[in-house]
Amino acid sequence: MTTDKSDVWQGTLALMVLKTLETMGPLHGYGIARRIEQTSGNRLAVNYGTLYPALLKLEQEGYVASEWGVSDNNRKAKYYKLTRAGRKQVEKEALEWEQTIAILARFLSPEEEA
Amino acid sequence: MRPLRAWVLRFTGMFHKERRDQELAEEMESHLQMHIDDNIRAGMTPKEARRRALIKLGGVESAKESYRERRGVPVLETLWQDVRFGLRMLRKNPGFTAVAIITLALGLTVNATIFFMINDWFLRPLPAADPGKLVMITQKIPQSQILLQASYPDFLDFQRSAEGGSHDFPEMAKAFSGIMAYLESSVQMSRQGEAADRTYVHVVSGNYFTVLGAQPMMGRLFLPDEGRIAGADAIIVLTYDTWKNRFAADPHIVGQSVKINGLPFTVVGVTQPKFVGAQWGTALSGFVPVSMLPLMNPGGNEVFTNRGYLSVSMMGRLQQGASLAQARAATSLVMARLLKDYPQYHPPVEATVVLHESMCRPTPFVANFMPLVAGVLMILALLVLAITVANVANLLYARAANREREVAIRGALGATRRRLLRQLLAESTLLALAAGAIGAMAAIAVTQLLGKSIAPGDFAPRASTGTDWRLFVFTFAASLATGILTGLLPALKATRLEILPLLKNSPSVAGTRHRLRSLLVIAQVAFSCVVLICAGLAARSVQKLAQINLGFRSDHIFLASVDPSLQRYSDERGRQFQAQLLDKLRALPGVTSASLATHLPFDLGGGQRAGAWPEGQTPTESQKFTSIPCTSVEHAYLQTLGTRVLAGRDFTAHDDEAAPRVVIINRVLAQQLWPNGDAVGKRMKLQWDTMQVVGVVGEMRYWAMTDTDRPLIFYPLAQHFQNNVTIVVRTGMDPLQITASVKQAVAQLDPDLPVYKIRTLDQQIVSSPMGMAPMRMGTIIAGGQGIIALFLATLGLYGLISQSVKRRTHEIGIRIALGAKPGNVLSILIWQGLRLVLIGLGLGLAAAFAITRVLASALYGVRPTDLATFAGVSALLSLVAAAACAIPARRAMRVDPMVALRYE
Repeated sequence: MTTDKSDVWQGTLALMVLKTLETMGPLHGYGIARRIEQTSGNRLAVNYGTLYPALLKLEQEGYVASEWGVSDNNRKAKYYKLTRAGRKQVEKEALEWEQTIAILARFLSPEEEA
Repeated sequence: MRPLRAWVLRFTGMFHKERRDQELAEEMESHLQMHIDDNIRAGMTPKEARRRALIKLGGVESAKESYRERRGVPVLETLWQDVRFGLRMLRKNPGFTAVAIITLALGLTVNATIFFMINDWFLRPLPAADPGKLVMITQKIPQSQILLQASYPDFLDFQRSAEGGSHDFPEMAKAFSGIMAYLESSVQMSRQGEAADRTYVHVVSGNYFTVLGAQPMMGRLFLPDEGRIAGADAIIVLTYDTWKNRFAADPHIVGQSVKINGLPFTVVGVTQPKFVGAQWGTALSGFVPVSMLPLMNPGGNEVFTNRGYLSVSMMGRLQQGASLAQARAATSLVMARLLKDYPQYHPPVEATVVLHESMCRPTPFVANFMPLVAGVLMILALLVLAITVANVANLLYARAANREREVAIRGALGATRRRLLRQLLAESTLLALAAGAIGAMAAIAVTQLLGKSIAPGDFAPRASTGTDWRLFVFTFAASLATGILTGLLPALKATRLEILPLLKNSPSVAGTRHRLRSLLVIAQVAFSCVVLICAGLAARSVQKLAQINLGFRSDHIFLASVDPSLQRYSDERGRQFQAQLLDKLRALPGVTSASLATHLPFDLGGGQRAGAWPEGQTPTESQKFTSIPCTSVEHAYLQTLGTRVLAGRDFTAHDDEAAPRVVIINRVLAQQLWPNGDAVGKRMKLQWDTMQVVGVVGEMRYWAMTDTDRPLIFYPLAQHFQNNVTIVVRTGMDPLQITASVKQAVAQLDPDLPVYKIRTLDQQIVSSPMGMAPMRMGTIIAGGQGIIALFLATLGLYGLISQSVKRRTHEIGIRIALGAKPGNVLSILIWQGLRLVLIGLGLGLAAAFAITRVLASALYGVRPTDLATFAGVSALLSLVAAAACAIPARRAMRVDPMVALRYE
């Protein structure tokens, strides 16, 4: 079952959504959730309660735009796509994350410093 | 930028909730279906596929809830709920709501009205470029703190040094970018083929508009070299309002000629719509250069040339970065030099005083005490507001008791105390905001009424300055604060209660502490008693004044003034004009009699002369220095007024320039000068004049309404000529009906001569400060205050008794069950309230007894301890108080003993 899966770390979901949309192009909520789970190697679980408020927040901030469309198997679905501001934001946040990880890495493997 | 955009969207997200909810539901549904589709594809049965998908996705409703919280602004949404709930509660109790709103509206109206004045006096910027840099320059007499105007020649020295034209005072050019001067003057304005008006202009130095930074709407303003040479530059700039109203917005007005005091002036421009000139709140019709003053006004040459003639106001514009202190120091140097060079022309002034323009309203010469007046007014207004807040809080307190159970249940259902407090405060704030809206509108109306109530005099009318946003911001903030203050205590009390005992229906133990509220009621009853007694005494005085014998008949008299002196009439031409005018007036249909006089009864600023004594005697000190009102009258004047000559004869047409000097005096003067004998035929000295007394009139109320023993002197206009007179006409119909005919008669003789101050003698008596106006104002103000105070006291009493009834339902039930009659119950409750009223009344009567003695001199024909007034006010107060107690007490009588007992 899914007991070993952790919930998405608060604050990182926005970046995951943006990055997903950057790679995949316009996508509906279900697609985004599945993609994030797959990319994480099924180690993350995304449910309604975290995904949809996060999408709404990104939309309010102007990083994504949404539009109703039809899915591959003919279901009506709301498609999200990256705006231009969203693209810039992905780059910015990705960079910040890389820096954060690099710094943390130094703390976690202190032998490199010596 | 991003967070702002998100907030804007969240605000809009509060609307169209249903559509948005629907959309979210659809989105989640499609999400679920796609999940199920995938699961089926992975080989599950449809049922299993659905089950798994649902488990995976978590709670739909909680997801929707967190989505909604993100979508809107939760704080605002609960606030909106509070407001809607509050409105519903207020609608359910229309009586309570109305009383509370009216009470708060009273307090807020007073505050908004006072703020209106303060706003006008101190806060609103003068419509000019960078008005914060404009200052008034005055001089001060050290002993009296009186601020003085400047003379025009002195002004020119100030101006020259400010413009760097004099090398003696480099400080001036550093402090000021310019200094200009103006003086207000009444003029008679007319245009070919139209009736003339008496209006007001600023007579200004050529740089007036430059210093103010004004731009023309049409044509041009004055050029810097205009206004320098006496008699040159007969030009006028009109104000927008005058152009629009007086000249019907004539698009070709520039270049046309208008007459000012009968002289042709060319209109060179019209100012911008908002421009009012340098003096806030004065309605001007235009601006003319000071160089025309010697031609325009008798004595105008004095202004232009005499260094001792303090008549102009000086306004300067500070240089960028210059301070008031710097400006004061610089101007004081110039002043000191002027004092040294021309000592004979200057009063012993100490130094100059430089004030910001906004501190100089309505004129710079009252700048010393305007802040004090405003402060006192504001404190009084806040006091009134505090009283209304206390009363409504009192009322809410009573209601909080009624709502204990409702609050307790909501608390039990999980509402936090903060949420409950917010809910109750929302209600009181709604009340206060409604009251504030009424208050703002009432303040606008009251201000207009106050403006109109100023008796028409011969001075520039107040410009209607309108309202601005500050009034609304102030009233809104004041109502918000009032609402929270009003609701806070009752709400704190209501939400502090223990939930359990209330749910169990037992009456709460709290609420026995009525002492503060009882004191409030007593104080209000006492206060309203004092004020109502003052109002009653003033009303009785008005009543007595209306009955007194004035010594003339005030009915059916038409009055209007003409001022040919401004048209530079010679005495000869003036005499001719007056004779022709009287002929025309006497020929008008409906005119019984017509005459002229220099001063009418209760005119302000009548002519007085000091020193009358019998010829051949040495005057006593009091005879030398007593001033006596003297009136030049055309011979038919006393007859037109209906005054009987008691001894001797009235004036006749033969008492002209060539005839011996004659005078008619009143009995008061006759007895002072000739205590033991007949005055008629005696000769009287009046300063340098010697006149023969030909008649004596009886008691006349002339100078002031309450005068009985003031000496009066009348002499023929022909022998003491003045151009500036008031027309007096006795008519057979409504006096104002002949207005048009009188205007026409004047216009036929001189089309450029306006007729102004048109009124009836009865109107003059009612509205003149020397007539009934002070007493009437006193009655209205004290009466209004008294009624408000009575209303508030009644309200407090009502709240107290209704709460008491509520609290004592159980007790009353037992009493009735034990056989008490409804009458007994009623008397117990009424007595509870009446006791407070009687204490208040006792205190009030004692205070009134002490205070009204001070008023004795202001009253007329009533003793300050007038029994009828005291008894009447006591009866009125007791009756109203009894009614305030009886209404809630009657509710107690209807208590069903069984219901009351089962209450437990």
